[in-house]
Amino acid sequence: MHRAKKQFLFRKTASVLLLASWAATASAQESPAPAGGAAASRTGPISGYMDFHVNDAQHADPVLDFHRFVLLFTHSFSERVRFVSELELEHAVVSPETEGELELEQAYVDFLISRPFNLRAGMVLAPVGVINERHEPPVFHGVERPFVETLIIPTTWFGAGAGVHGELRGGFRYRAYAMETLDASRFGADEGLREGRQKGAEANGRHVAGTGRVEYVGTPGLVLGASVWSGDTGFAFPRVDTGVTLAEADGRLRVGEFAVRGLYAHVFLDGMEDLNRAVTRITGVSPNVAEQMRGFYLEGSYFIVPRPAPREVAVFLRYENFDTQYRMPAGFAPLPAFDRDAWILGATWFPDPDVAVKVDYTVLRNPSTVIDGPNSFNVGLGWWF
Amino acid sequence: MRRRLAAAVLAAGVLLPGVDGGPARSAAAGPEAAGRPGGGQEAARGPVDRERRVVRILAERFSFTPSEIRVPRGVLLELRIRSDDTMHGFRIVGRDVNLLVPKRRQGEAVVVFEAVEVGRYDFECSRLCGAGHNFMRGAILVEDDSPADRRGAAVEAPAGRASSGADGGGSR
Repeated sequence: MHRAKKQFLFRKTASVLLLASWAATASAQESPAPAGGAAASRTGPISGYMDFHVNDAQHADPVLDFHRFVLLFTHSFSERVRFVSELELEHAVVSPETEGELELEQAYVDFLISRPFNLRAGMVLAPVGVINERHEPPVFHGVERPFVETLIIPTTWFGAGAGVHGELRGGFRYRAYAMETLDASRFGADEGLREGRQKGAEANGRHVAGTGRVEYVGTPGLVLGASVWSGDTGFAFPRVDTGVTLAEADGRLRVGEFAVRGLYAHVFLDGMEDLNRAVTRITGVSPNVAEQMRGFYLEGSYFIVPRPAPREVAVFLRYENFDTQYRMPAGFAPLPAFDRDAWILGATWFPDPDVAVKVDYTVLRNPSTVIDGPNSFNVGLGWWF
Repeated sequence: MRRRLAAAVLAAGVLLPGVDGGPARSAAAGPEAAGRPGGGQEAARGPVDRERRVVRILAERFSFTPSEIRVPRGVLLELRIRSDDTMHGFRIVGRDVNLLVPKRRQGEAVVVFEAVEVGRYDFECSRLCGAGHNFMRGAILVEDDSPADRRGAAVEAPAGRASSGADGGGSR
């Protein structure tokens, strides 16, 4: 389909969703109030999660970082209209001298209409991958989030949008949103799409992206999911026609004390040859953005002390393989340093199921003879309340 | 044709009931009982003159498994809910059931639900458990053995109708 026509349809879809949201609000407010005064407005208690890290990488001094301080605020306007938000302070201080950021990662209103069909609008998480929507520190092993879900899937991936979600029969459920697109002018060779997130900050709305996820949760301990994100991304260079499609599949299985999870993600980028040349004309340096990126990981974990907290300990081993220059556009050569893999071996101790003390050793490798992938020893403390 | 289909989908979404059904009765272990291993055993005994069906539910961020439970009318449904991570809530919308599900390895919550009348009874997590909290929902479908009655139940259930005695609800 022609890109302009596709964009037109995306915009139409977004408009219909917003209109439907309004209709749903009206419908929900006019519904008979459930018994017991449940329709009364109610503000939930503050919840949140925190993540404190010590990273000791080769060739560098150790770093102590209060990586994430996240607060969740919620409010139920009625039984069917609910607000959820997530405000995040990263790296403790926001100043020109530090990398700290204050981010509104989520702030949406859910219009809960029926089990198979609900509407959501506001600042939403892209429903892509395992970690992006489920990232509380006690639910994943390892001090840092997986490389693949940082550099191939730019977790935490959030933006302004609206869409539908619901649960179907047989344990299947879905999410589908129209949301802001990425800014291709900020893509890079090392971190892929990551810097292209607009984060709902006066995001350019010339193009609208579409994203969706289907998930199977019908068997205890098993979750299977597949996601896609697709959108035109070239608004910074009107004469450069660029687009991104990311497809991903993942699974999690827990049997007794043993758990395994895996994910594969592949990114297809159109128009990167033109983009690289356009950026080079302006800055003098080519960003060397690839036309394909891909990554996968497989992780096994086992509760070696399967006792109630505080005597609960798990060990894990994760292998990751990821390449942010998997296929290059004509005339551009990949750098071996970006074809990486990693082994992460570690343990998680749960003093409480909501508190995780993590330790791991990460071996990061690449085939380059010039740039070393530094190994690191990491310790983390994360909690949810 | 597409317009009609889109309109039908939207109408179905808006009109499908969130809560319906008549005076099904339920009993639940309270939060205090649920907060320790084995909590709610007394509640689980219930009446002895009905068929009892036990369903084990796994709660984790952000799903209940199974999330759809079908029982014939007249059954005494015993839900035994355990968590694989944090503390969750279990609330049957429009009914007097709202209790805490203990954290992983710290016990289970027990709900006894008398499926007296055909209908659909939605349940949800009532304790904020993370960003995907609103995804944690499910339904108990009380059906009659007769297919005709089953069709009737789907048609007759009005949107938003609920019995009395519901908890205040929402996240704790």
